Amino acid sequence: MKFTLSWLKRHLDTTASVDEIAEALTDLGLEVEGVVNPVEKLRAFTIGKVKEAEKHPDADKLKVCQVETRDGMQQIICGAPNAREGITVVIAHPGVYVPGIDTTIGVGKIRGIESHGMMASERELELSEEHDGIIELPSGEVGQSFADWLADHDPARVDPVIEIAITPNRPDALAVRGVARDLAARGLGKLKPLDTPNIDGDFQSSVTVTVDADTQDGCPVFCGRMIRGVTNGPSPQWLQDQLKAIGLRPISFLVDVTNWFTYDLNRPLHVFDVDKVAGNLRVHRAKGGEQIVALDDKTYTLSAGQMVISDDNGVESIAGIMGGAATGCTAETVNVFVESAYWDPVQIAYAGRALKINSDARYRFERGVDPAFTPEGVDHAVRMITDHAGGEVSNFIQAGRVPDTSRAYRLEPARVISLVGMEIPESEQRQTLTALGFKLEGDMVQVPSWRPDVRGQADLVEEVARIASLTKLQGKPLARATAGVPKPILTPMQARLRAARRTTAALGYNECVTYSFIDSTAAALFGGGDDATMLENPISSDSSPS
Amino acid sequence: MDDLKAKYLGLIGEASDEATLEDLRVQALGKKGEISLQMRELGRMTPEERQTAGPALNALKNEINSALAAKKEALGDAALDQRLRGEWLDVTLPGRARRQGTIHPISQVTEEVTAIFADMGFRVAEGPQIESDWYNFDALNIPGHHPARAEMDTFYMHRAEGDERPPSVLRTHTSPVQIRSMESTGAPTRIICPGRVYRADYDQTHTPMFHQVEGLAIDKDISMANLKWVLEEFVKAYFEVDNVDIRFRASHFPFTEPSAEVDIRCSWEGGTLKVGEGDDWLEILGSGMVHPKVLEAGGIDPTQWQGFAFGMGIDRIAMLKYGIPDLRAFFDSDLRWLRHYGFSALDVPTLDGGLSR
Repeated sequence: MKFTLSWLKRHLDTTASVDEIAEALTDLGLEVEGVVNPVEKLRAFTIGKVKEAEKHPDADKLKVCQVETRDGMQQIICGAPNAREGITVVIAHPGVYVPGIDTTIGVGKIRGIESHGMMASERELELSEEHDGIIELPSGEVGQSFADWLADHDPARVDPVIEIAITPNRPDALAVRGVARDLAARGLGKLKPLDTPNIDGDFQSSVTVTVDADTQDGCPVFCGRMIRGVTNGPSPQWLQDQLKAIGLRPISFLVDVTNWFTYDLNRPLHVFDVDKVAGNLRVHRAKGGEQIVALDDKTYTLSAGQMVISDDNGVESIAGIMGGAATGCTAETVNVFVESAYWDPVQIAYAGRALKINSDARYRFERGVDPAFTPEGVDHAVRMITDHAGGEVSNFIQAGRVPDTSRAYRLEPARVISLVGMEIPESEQRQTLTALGFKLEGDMVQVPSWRPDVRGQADLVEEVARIASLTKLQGKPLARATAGVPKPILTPMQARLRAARRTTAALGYNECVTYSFIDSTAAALFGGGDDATMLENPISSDSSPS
Repeated sequence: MDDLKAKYLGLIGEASDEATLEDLRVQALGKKGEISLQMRELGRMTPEERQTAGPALNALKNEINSALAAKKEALGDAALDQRLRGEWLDVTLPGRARRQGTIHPISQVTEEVTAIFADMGFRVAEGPQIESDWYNFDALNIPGHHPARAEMDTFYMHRAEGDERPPSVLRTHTSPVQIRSMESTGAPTRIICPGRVYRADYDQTHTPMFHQVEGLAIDKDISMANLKWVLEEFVKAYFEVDNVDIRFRASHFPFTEPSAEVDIRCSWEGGTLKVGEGDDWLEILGSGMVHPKVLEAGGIDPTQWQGFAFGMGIDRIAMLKYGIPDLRAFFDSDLRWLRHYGFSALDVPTLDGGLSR
């Protein structure tokens, strides 16, 4: 799970540094696998001011510039059309590695005249594709590190990317907001409130949705809205930048919006091109044998029981896993239906495994998205779409009901302290749980809908302990089971094995440890090789323990 | 008679070995020896002749005998002298080497870990390598559809056509032994469970068979603070250092709640791993407080008893402590590897003598 610092700050009001955030995340159970800080590769570049720029005597397009730099006045030859007196530039001194051209700059002679360094363009510093000219800065001190200038004036350009490993019990941390919530509970900032959209429909949606009776256990609620008259196209630059920063490819605005919410709020969405949908949408179970060309352009054959979304033409989407190409959005799409549904994790897991599709949607649905957020999820997407791409919004469509996953467990503060072995005052325990979204009524704790992993009192203890931080836990000696000198613990057989092993080694033999696997022919020679010791899925053909 | 004397003394003088001397003795003094024959002539002599010849012959006989004895002794001395000169022994030479065998690092490290935990009162529990689905997964709070189960690449045992019972598996961890042990001894209990485990994975750092040791301590008021102390003490004792920089951080396992992972500070500088210093962290242990559902599966009442569990890879900690670079080589049975990384039979790890040389 990747996110940028600026993305995190959309949800978390904080002054903590990247390092402090990374350390806290690992300590909280969201182990940091890597931090990529683009600013580091720009540290060696410094700012300079061009004092003179004269045409090169032997080259029409080159200018010989006298530049005030960290090392005093330096002569640098430049071929950029905008190189001239008075501009503030970014300099690569001899010895500096320039990532964009994969070269380390040296002192050179260009058409007979020495050049001590290079004035860089944005592309050469891998900041953008700009290469029409060298960078001209609006400000900056001679000798200042360009990295520092960027951090002050254009931090978005040097946005660190943090990658964390998510354990199976934390689907809520698959959302940047979920990560922010954990950090806020730890005290590294304040969680910004989520701005809930308030949308009134302007017309009746021409597409409705039904969920077959036998599919309601797998799809308890399906929400959506139609938007007509949108202008699809490239996403706004900020959205493209954020998606690219975490390794996703921007495709078109309507598609990018679905990816945005998948990562921002762990709310996978699908957008149908309504003009390609015949009739209404029906959520049901495949009979088996139906085929669909999915958004990855591959054809899949469905098995009986797998959940699908069909229109009058047939299967148009593999529910919760991947939409179909036929009804997907393109640059020309004008009328859309935005889907936000809740799918049963177990059924998605089995279907995804059987079809061998590893999509972001499947990954998140099989770990569990927030069921209660399903309706609101539609409107966040609808608002983002209309804000940038225009369009009229229909009424709210909902099939089924948001499943009731409410449950509460008793908080026993004394038990928490006894289990963890750390003094965590009751007030702190309650405050921690509240900050994580739990609702306390007396000593009963209501579990928030986005935490499917919390299933008992022990889970409350873990939340309190990890937020309080296990680094603060002081080790307490474990008393001896019986006082006095420990007694021997080996059983006679264990002692015998040990003696046999060491005697054999003392006689000159070398102990080896070999794999328990053996092919059946060889096993038979030793009286083995029967069905009871045969493997179903050996790694290679000669495998079956003897 | 003088001729005889001269002749025999001369021959005796020239004799070079005992066999020749013996021949000469027989020749001179044997039954048919020259001097013996002369002595028989004494009977035919007159008493006056006998008075001279008798003592003279006796004297000759004695002289020949003496000469024979002296020469024998001289020859014996010479022979001894020769032997001494030829057959000498250098006692300063080192003893003759006898072939030394070795103990495999897995066995050695298992004994090291056992020694450390035995001191803290932990017994060694063992269990079957082919396990039931229930003991390996369900009892440990790992339900069928859960990603945690999919994340473990499990070896399944063959089932006959039409057999719909849940399949047996090659155990993917030694945790099932904890359940079996709880069932048989109840609480309070302290055990470690070393043993072979199996996962369908094969690359530079994974082999389809490897070794784990897990631990379990259940009592009335064992806490996570006790767990942290035990793990810190174990790491110091095992790596034989006074201070160890370990990181105890929140994590998740289906069978513990709260869960924690333990990292040890290390450095990868120069391509070799050094434990105890550096800027990197290496994960060596998983642990946590035993989940109430797991206690229940073991037949123990979670409202009465609580405790912790932990697990680590034996092959891994062996590689870390003894600088063994490649896991796959552990199971190659290459004599060169065994001789190089193996341990002497007499190097039994003990707390009083040290875990390693």
